[in-house]
Amino acid sequence: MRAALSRETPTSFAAVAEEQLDGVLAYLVYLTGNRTVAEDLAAETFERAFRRWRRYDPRRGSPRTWLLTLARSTALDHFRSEERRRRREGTYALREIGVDEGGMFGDGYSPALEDALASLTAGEREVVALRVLLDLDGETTARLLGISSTACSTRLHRALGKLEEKVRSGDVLA
Amino acid sequence: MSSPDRIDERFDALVRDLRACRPVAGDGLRERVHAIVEREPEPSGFSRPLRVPAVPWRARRRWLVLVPVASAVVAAAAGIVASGSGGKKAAQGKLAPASPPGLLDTSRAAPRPARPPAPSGSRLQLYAVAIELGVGDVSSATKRALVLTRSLGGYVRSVRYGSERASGSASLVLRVPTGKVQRAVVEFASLGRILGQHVSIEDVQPQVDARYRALQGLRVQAASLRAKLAAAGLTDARRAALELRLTRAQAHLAELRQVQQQSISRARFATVSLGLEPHRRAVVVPPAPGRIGRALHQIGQVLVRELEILLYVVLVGAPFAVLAALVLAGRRSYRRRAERQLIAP
Repeated sequence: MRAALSRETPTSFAAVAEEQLDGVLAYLVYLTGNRTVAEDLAAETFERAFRRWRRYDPRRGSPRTWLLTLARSTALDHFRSEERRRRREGTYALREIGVDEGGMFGDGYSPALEDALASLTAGEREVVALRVLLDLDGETTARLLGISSTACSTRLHRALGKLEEKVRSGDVLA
Repeated sequence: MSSPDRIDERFDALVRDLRACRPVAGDGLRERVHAIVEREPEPSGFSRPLRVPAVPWRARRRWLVLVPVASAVVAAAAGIVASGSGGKKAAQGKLAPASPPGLLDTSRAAPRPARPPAPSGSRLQLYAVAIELGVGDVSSATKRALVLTRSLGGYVRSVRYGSERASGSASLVLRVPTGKVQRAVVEFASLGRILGQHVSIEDVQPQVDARYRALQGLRVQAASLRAKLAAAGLTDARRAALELRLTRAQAHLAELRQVQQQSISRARFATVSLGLEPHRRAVVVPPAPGRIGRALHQIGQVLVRELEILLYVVLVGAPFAVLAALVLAGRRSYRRRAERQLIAP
């Protein structure tokens, strides 16, 4: 209902930004595994979105999907540039911008959950963020990731399975 | 119930935990975003739709397949049509090998005899007409042509009639008074069906006029010489010289007069070359279409031409389109793989 409303009624960019900021940030935090980088990328995403707002077509999707697509593109650009930088500077610097220390994915996650999230790949965390945190439906998520709905569902359940397993083993160890 | 939108129930606790403490933007980030939004006047959203219509990728993928397939079908159809029409042409060639283009039907459509241009009444002209006729019986048509020629006051210059086969052909060269040549052509045309006609007119009036002036000059010269010879007191040598000049002038005068008379008599009669051939099978030419028929024919020709151009464009462009589609698909696949490697190493 809300999505339908947002597709039909003209909205100001400021309102959209205000409404979607948390979601975009959560997605980027999960995708990058680094809160600082995620905040920079979120700011860059909204910068891009602001410039492209005129070209936004509500018939192609909700503002949230559009912003998440931009966020993903911004993050991939960042990954690419980091990849190039690492290659340029040598393999010893690999994974320099790895996952932050504990307490970065969520405000109040258990250490076991933080560790479990950190052990997932970016692609797995990405699908968890979209489907679980942002509650996107399977089809929209699949379209955003450029994969089929089945592959999306498989990736989500594999990621959640791994999380579940890691959390359980982490709790036992703790 | 298993739906792709539904997350497995065994993960409910985990999902609850994840959602409970999801990251939220801090004040710093919120201020940065506000600064972006308030930095300059906000561009009007929803004001201009995308120039490219929103076509889902799935539909575009369908087009990527459909366009090359359609091109291939059109090309195949064109090949069939081209080979079909080629066969038709070959068949026509076999049926009527001896029929030159433009020949008319000798069995059904009766073309009107083409009335030749009228000869000039005031100027001398060499008028020649060549007519090819298809006739049922060459022998009787030949006889009838001879009778007609004589009835018009003309005469026969030559007749060649081949009777080796049961139905030979005949070739007649007739001389008809120029004033009656139009009537003669109409009469000859009634002997059969016109297969071909050629008219040649040569104006000889300037030559005749020039010759007339030369004749007058010679006459004056001869009269002058006669006057000089009649005068008294001429020496023998002078007289002999004048007589020689007079003789030459008279001879030239006679020669020129003869040529003049021949030219005039030649111009008085037109030459009609009549070729008579037995009826033969010819390409059936339908009756001439009316105005609407012609318009429809022209429209059809334009459409065929457009189709040819379209076909040419499709045939030339199809490989490039397929190539472009392959390149796009390859690039897309490469980009996806690169992305996968980036986010899921």
